[in-house]
Amino acid sequence: MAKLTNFLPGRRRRLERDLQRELQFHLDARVDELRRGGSSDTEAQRQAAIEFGSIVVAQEEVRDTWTWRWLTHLVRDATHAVRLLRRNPGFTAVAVLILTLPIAASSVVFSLVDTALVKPGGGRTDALTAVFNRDRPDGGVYRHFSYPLYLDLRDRSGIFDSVMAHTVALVGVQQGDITRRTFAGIVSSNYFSTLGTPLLAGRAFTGDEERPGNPSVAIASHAVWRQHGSPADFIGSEVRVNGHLFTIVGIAPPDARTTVLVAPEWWFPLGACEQLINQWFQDGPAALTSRANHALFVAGVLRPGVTRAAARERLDALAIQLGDTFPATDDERTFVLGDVPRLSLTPEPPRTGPVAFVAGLLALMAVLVLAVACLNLANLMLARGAARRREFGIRRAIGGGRSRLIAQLLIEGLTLSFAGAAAGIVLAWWAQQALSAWLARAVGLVAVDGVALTLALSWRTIAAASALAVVSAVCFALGPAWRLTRPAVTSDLKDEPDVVRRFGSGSLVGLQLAVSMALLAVGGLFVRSATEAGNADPGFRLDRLLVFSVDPSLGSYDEQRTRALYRTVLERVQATPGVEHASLASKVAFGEFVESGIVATADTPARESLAGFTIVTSGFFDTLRLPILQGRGFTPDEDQRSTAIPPALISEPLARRLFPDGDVLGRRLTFRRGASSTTTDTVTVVGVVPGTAQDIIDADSQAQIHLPSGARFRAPMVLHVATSGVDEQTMLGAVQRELRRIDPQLPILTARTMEAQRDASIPRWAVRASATVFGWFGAVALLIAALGVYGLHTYEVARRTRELGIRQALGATPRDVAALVIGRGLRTTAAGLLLGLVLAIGIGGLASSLLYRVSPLDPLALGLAAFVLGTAALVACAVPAHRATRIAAVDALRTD
Amino acid sequence: MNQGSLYPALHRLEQKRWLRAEWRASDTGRDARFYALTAAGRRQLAVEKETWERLAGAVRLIFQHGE
Repeated sequence: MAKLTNFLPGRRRRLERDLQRELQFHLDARVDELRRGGSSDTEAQRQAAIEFGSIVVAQEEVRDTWTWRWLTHLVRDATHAVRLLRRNPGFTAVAVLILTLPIAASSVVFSLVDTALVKPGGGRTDALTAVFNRDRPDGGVYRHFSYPLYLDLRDRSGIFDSVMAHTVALVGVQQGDITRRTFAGIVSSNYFSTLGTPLLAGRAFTGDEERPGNPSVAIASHAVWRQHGSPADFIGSEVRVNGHLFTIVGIAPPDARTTVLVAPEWWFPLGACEQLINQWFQDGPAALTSRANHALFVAGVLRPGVTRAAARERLDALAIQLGDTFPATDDERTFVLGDVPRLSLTPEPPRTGPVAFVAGLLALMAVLVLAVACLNLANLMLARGAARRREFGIRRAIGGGRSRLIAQLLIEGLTLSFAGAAAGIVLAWWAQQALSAWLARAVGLVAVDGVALTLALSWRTIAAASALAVVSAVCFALGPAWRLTRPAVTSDLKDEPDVVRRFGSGSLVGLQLAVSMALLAVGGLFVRSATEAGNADPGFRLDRLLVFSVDPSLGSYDEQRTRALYRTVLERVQATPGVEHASLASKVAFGEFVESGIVATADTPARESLAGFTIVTSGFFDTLRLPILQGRGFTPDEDQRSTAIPPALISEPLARRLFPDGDVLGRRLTFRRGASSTTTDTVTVVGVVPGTAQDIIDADSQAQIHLPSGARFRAPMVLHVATSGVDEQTMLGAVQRELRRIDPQLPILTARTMEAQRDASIPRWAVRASATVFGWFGAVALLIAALGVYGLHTYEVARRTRELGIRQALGATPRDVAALVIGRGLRTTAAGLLLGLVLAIGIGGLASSLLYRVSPLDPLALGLAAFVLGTAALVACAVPAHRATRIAAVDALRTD
Repeated sequence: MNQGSLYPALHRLEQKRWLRAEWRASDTGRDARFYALTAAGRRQLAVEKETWERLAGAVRLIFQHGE
């Protein structure tokens, strides 16, 4: 084992010293012996030396015993490499920078992909099998599970070792004076044990607590417990959620999550459903024990030895039994087994398609940028190595092995790339923090605290970055190393110009330019996409409009009090100076919540359409400054009173689709809320209004149906306020003060201008994010490519100094020389741009589903990219060209 | 064979832990490195001796038969 450490400088010095003393002792002793025998001083020394043999050889052989030879070489090469790099700080800085950016980008992409797709979930999450159910064996609608159905699955299927049910809800937690909205998990009693994440403290929920009517209990998340200062008596204390008191009975472990990437702040038993589940998540009858209430997501661990195929058979048998026993609700039900989706709790089995696609695209980009960087570095290494041709020539001439030289050059490359990787990891860590913060802010979860989006830098990412470093080092160092250690010895020793050059660096740079062009063009496409999205017309004017999202149900308001509250709110806000109109709506444009349903005409054959669904008060369209196109709007009376067949306002696109003959007013429509709902309502069309966009991407969202607030009750509403042009911040403050005067504890979740609301919407964020990301990729590629061109031509000029000097001596003007250099540059650039164009169109075609109203052949983006890159390349070779003209013929001829 | 090749052999044996080395004062007054067999070294010596004797015996046999 000493062999492992004997190369360390401290030990090495000691070993050397000892060896020196030992050998010296031997020689001195022999010399003394010979002198005593009568020889003279010089005689004795000569004799002793002959007898000893070569000291150097002895020393070398002893050194060989201390540690492995390859280790010695490795350490020596590494220190030499570091020394070499420190001597050329300029080159080192550029090279490390060129590597840092791509490695950082690749690390971030890897981390994203890892988190979204690959990373093992905590506990047994990955061993879980999810169960989905369908109305009919073929093409029926997927639904969540009802509680009784889950019990049937748990008790009668016999295929699960342990199976749990859960759902999530947005709840209002009271902290001091304010109510915060946050995520909560609502779970069965065996949730934590099924997931394999046992509680940190306290107890899990009991089977009794799964049913309503039992004492209200809760389990706190680790984060919340820490937030309160980790008190020892946390268990047993109470917390008020949605107006109800809950007793804390346990603390969850730090890695407890739902199967999705969200870590809720609080956990409640299924029995608390009715107190907690916001109407957004309700679908029909609210009772937990009703077979028609589909609310739960079910997953579990199969019994050991039970395959999915066997399980499926058992489930089919169970489905038939259930169909016979409960024909009203569970007839023709089919069960499907699948993997647990990572990104959402939909009732459908997961398709990783879209996410995998985006991930793949990002990975492709990252790899391309890395490729450009490697090509660039290869060129730089060649250029630098050319200056050392003499050194290598000599070493080869005296018998140095080629593999040793290549190893040395490889180690130089590895040193560079590890430095780049280290810097890249730091950069990636910072970028991830920024990305997480940006994502959390922009996704409107600003109103929902306690969502832990973990995009942390893991060991796997660091390992990936290191692997990338090694691979890139091999790529950019090996080729040049091979080239430089060629056995063309005599010309190297004589420093003659290298003739074989034609194909090498020029094509490398051309390739760089091509890839950079592709990246720049794609970046341009995404930027265009973002600007298009920004300019898209939402169907109404966004200025002078404020939106406030409130939810009295998170406090302790019931329906009656909420209605009274809203009446007061509208009266008082309307009377506030600066306010032109005020109204309420159940959702807001560009918001994160949408309701939709199927609207169908009442005649036969019925025409159907998917439509967005909103509940509005009577002044809504005045507030949005939109005219009523046909018929009438809602009356204040209809805000309060409900009728058997409520009136409805439909948007013009919906009217055109359902009633192509144009006869709209007075017609009947049926409306089924949610594709999986079982309740249908009938409404009468009393007016037609213009369509407005719900978000910038979905054109179909312009089909909308509106009902008056008297017909349906919604607790969470958005207050829309049209102002008369006074400064927006002032008005935001004034309206909020008015709301606080009405009820200081009213949960106000967001307060923004409509423009801010649009900017915060997810699709817009996604578009902007992709524009930023791909734009940055393009910019980095541009920088690297420009550097590459510059480097190439500088090297070219240096290499051809003698030739250029001769040309000048023979009468070439500075212009001719410059033209020579730039001419070469032009050809390379043109070839690279052309190839890049083809590549760009290809990638753009792949990504066209992500582009908003921009075709992959967009001339503006492609042309601009070509122009920018071409200019940069020309400038980059103009500088060396200029330098070439300054070569005095005399100096050039004297270079040798 | 020259004397210098003694030292690589000594150091190799020391690395294999068959020899133990220490600096001690020699009779000339200067420090010298003294080598001694370790227990493992003694065992190895026995093995090597046996191998050598078998080899020597075989060579002797060849010569005897040759005559």
